[in-house]
Amino acid sequence: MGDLHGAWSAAVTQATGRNSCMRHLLTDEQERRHKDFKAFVALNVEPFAGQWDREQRIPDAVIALLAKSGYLGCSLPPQYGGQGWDTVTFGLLNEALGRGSSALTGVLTVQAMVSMALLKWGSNEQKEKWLPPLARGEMIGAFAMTEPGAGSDIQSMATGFTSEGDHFILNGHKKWISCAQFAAVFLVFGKLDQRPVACLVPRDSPGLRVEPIDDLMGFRAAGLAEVHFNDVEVPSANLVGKPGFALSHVAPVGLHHGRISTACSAAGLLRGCFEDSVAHAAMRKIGDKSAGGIGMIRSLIARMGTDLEAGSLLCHNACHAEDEHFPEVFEKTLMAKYFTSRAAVQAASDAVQIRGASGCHGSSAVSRYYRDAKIMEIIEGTTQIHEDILGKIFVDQVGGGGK
Amino acid sequence: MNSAVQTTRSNVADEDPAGKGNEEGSRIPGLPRSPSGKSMRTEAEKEIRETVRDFILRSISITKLDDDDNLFESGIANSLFAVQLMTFIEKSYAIEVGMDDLDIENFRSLNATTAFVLKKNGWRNG
Repeated sequence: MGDLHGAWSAAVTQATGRNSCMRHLLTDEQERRHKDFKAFVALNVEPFAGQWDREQRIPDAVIALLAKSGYLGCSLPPQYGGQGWDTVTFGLLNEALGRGSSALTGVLTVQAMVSMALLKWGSNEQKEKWLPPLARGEMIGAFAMTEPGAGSDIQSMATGFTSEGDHFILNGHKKWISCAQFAAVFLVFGKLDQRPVACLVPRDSPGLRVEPIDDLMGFRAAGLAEVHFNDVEVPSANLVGKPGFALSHVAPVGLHHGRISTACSAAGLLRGCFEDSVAHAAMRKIGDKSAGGIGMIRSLIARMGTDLEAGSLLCHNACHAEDEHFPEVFEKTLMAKYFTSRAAVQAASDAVQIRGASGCHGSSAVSRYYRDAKIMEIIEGTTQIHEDILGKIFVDQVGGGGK
Repeated sequence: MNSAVQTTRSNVADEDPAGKGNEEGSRIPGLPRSPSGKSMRTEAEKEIRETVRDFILRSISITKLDDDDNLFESGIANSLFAVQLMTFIEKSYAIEVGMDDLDIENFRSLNATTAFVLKKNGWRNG
C-alpha cells in the first residue's frame, strides 16, 4: 500500500507540474500565495469535500476558517478590512479551491459578487456599514437575482419594491440563490415603479423566509435556497446605486466578478480531473501495460491537458485585464468562463470514463466533479447566453451587424 | 476593479509633482497643461469626443455616430456596452464613476459623455 501511495503521489506531482504554464506569468508573491492556497485546500478541503457533498452542507467551522484566512474579503481594499489582493491572486485562490470543492468556492463567488457590486456602486455610508463585516467574513452575502420565472431573461423579474416614506415594502420570490441558506444579507434585485433597483436586505427582516433547496445534481453543499419576501420593510438607505441602473450597471459588476470566480473554479476542477486521470493512467494495469499506454486513454488525456493549459491562460488573461482595468475585460472574462466551464464538463466526463466503474461511485472525486461541472455551465450566465453575447461582440467588432 | 482605478490615479498624480491635481485640464492624460481658457477646453473637448467616438465605433455595430445620437434609446448599445464604456472612460481619463454619477444624462450621447468627462476632470462649462 505504501508503494502504491508513493507511486500515486509521484504521478499526481508530475501531473500538477503540467500546470506550470502559468509560472512565467506570475509574480513571486502570486506564485507563493498559489502554493499556500493549494496547501490550504489539500489540508482543509479535499479530504472533506465528498462528505460535504453527501451531507449537502458546509460546516460553519469551514466558513469560519475561510474568513480567518482572509479569503472572503481578499479583493476588498484594506480600508474596509480586506486583503487588497489583485485579481490574479483572487483567480488563483478560486482555482485552488475549485480543485477541492466547487460548492465551497461558490461561497467566495457570491461573496465577491455582493462585495464588489457594493464597492463600486454603494454610497460611502453603505460601504462603511456593510463592507467591513463582509470583508472579515463575519457576514455572508447572497446575490438574489434569479426568480422562478426569470433566469436568463432577467428583465421579466416580478419582485417589486414600493416606496413608503423612508422605506420600501418588498414583495416577491427568488429561487436558486447560492448560499442563501446561511447568508446574513441579500442583494435583492426587483423593480420600483417599473425601474430596476438593487437593495440590501438583512436576513432577519420580518417577512423574509428562506426555504432550502435540496437534492441538486451538483453544488450540493452550496446552500441554495428560495427566498420569499412578504411585505418586507427595507430602509430606503439600503438602495444600491440609483433606480433604473440595477440591471445596466449594478448587476453586471456583480456578475462579472462571479464569472471570474466561476471561470477559475472550473479551471481548478479541470486540473483535478487531469491529475486524477494521469495518476490513474500511470497506476492502472490493463493486461501487461498501464492504462496510459493505450492510445484511446492518451487521446482523452491529451485533450484534458491542452484544455487545462488553454483555460488557465484565458483565466489569467481575464484577471490581468481586470487588474489593468482594460475595457475589454468583460469579453475576456466571458471567454474564460465560457471555455473553462465547457472544458470542465468534458474533462469530468472523460475522467469518469478513464476510471470506469470506480469513477461512477461516490467515493471517487471525479463523480462529484462530473455533477459539479455541469452547474458551472449554467451559473453566472448559461453557455448559450455567453455564446449569444460573445458572438455579437465579435460580429460587431468588424461592423457586421447583429442587432 | 477599484484598485486598478486607484493605480491609474496615482500614476497621474506622479506626473503632477506640483500637486495641481484637480485644476482645469491638468488631469487629462495626453493633453497639454496650460492656464485655463476656453480654447484649451475646446481642444480637450474635441480630443475626448473623438477618442470616445472611436471606441464606440470599434465596439458596436454602427458605421457612423453623430454627436447627439442617443446611444441607449436607439437600441444600438446593450447593458454590457454600458459598463464597457464606463470602464473605458475611467481608464482613459483617470476618473472613477460612482453612485452619484449614475444619471442617464451623463452617458446618453457622445456629447453627454464628453461633457461628463470634462466635468469629472474639473473643467467648467464653457
